[in-house]
Amino acid sequence: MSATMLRVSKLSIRSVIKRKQPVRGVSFSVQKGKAFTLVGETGSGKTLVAQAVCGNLSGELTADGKIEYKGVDLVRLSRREKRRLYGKELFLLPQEPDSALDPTMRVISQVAEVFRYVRGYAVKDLHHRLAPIFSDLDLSLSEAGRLYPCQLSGGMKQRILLAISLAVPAGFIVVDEPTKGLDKLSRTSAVHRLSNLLEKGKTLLCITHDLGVARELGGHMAVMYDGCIVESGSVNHVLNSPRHPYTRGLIGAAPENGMIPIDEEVLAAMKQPEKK
Amino acid sequence: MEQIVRSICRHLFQGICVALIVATLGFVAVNLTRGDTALDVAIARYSEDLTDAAVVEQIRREEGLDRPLAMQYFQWVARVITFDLGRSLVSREQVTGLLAHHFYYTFLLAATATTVSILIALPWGILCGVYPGGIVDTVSSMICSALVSVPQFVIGLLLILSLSIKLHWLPVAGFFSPAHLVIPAITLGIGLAAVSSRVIATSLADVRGALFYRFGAMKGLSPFKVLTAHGMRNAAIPVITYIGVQAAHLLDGVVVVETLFAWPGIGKLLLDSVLARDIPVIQGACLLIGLLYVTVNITVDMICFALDPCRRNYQTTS
Repeated sequence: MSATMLRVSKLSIRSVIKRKQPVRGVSFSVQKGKAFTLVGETGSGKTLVAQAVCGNLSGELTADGKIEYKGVDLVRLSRREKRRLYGKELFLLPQEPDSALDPTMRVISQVAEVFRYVRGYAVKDLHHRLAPIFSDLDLSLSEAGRLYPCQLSGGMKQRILLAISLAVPAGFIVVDEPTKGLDKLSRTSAVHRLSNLLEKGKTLLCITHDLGVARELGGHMAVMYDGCIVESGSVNHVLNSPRHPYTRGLIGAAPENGMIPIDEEVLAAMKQPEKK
Repeated sequence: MEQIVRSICRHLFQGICVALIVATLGFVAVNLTRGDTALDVAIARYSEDLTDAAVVEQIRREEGLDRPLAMQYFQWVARVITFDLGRSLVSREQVTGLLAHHFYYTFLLAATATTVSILIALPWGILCGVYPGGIVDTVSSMICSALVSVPQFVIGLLLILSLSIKLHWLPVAGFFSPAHLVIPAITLGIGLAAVSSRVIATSLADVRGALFYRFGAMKGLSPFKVLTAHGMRNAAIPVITYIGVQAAHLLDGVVVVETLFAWPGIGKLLLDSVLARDIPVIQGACLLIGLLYVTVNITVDMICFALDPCRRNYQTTS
C-alpha cells in the first residue's frame, strides 16, 4: 500500500461575483507514484480543482475544505508559502504549450534554468543533466535545444514541457488536458510520455475529458459532473463496471464506443438547481 | 541575416525618399508664404536699418533668387546628388558645416536627455509594472499625467528659477561647459521619463500576465529570476521601439527647449532659418532630419531583431 500524497476533502469552490459554487464537496486522494485522473465534460469543474490544488485560482474564486499535501493543508497557506512549493514539490503542466514557453529564449535554456536556479547545479554539469532528458523525449540537444519556441511544432513544444517536468524536483505533477487538440498519433505518444513520468517515480493528477488517458495511465479516477464527483474508484473498476448512469453515458459517448449522446434525462436529474 | 539586410535597404530607400520629399515640401512652403525671400535675407544679413532696394536686388541677383522657382529647385537637387547642400543665404557658410555644428549640440542634448529619462523611467516603470494597480502605480500614474500635461518651458523655467537663480548651482542658458547641459537635459528627460515609465509599466504588466511568465514561477524560479530571465527581455521590445521614436523626435531638435536655453541645436537653427527664409539651410535641415529618422529606425529594428527571435526567423519586418 503506497502512501497518500494528496488528500482533498470536501473541497468547494465559490465564485464571489457569480454567487455560484462551481465545485461542491469534492473528495479524493492521490497515492504516491500513481496516477489519479479527474474526468468530466467541459464546465464540470475539474480544471478548477486542479487550480485549487496548485493555488492559482483566479481572484474571484475561493476554496473551502481541505487540500492536504504531505499533511500540509494547501488551502491555509499564504501565496508566498504556496509559491515556495512550486517546482520543488508541486508542478502544473499547462494545457497550452504554445504560450507556456518564453518566445525569446532558446528551449534548452528554458529547461536548463530549472537545473541551474531551482536545483542549483553548476553550469559545467548542465549538459550532462540535460542530455538524458532530451534523448528520453527523442529530442536532439544540439539541434532542437538551440531552437526558439516559434520554430517548434506543437508536439515538440509539448515534449519540451515534459522535459521541464522531468527537470523539476517536484514529485507531484498536475497535468491539465494533456491530449487537447492533438491528433491520434501525437495523442498516443503524449499519453505514453505521461506513463514515463510515472515510471520515473512522479505522482500524477491528470485532468482530462478523454477516458482513454485514464485507462492508459491506470491508478484511480473520479468522474465529475456539474461540480461534483459522481463516481470514483480504480480505473479498471470505474471503466469496466460503471455504476452511475452518467459514467455509463460518458463511456458510451467516447469515439471508440460510437459516440452515443448521453441521455438528456440523466443530465437533467443531476443538474444543480438554479438559485433564485 | 538576409532579412535584416533587406530591411535595412528598404528603410534606407524609404528614408532617402522621405527626406527628399520633406526637403521639397520645405522649399515649396517657404516660397508659397507671402513675402520676398531676398528682402528677408537682406534684413537678416544687414539688419532692417541698412537694407534698401539696391541691397535687396543685389542679393536677388547674386543668390539666383530671380531665376524661376523650378530652376532653383532642380539646381539644388543637382547639387545634393554631389553631396553639396550649398551655402546659407544669410551667413554665407557652407550648409553642411552649419548643420554639423548645430547637430553636435542637438546630439549632445538628445543623448543626455535620453540617458536621464531612461535612468528615471527604468526603475520607476519596473516598480509600477511589478505591482500594477498598487499604490505606487496609482500615484505614479497621476504624477505622470501631471508631468505630461505641464508644458516643457514651465518645467524649464522652474528648474532655472530654483537651480540657477535661487541656488546658483547651475548656469542659466547657452553652452560653454558641461554644466550648461544639466538643466536642459533634465527638463527634457523628466517629460520623456513620465511617458516612457508608463510604457515600461504597461509592457511589463502585460508580460507578467502571460502564461510563460507564470509558468516560470511554477518551475520554482524566484520572483527576481522570473523577472530578469523572462520579464525584462519580453517587455523590452515595445519599450525600445518607443524610446527610438522619442530619440528620433529629440534629434529633430526641440525648438521650445533649445530656444528657452539658447541652445545652439538643429531646432533653433531651423527656426532662425525659417524666419530669415534661408532656403538652403531649411532644405538641408529637412534632409538631415529625414536621414536621422531612418538611422534611428534601422537601429531600433536591429535591436528588436536581436531581441525577438520569432521576428528574426519568420516574419518580414514592416
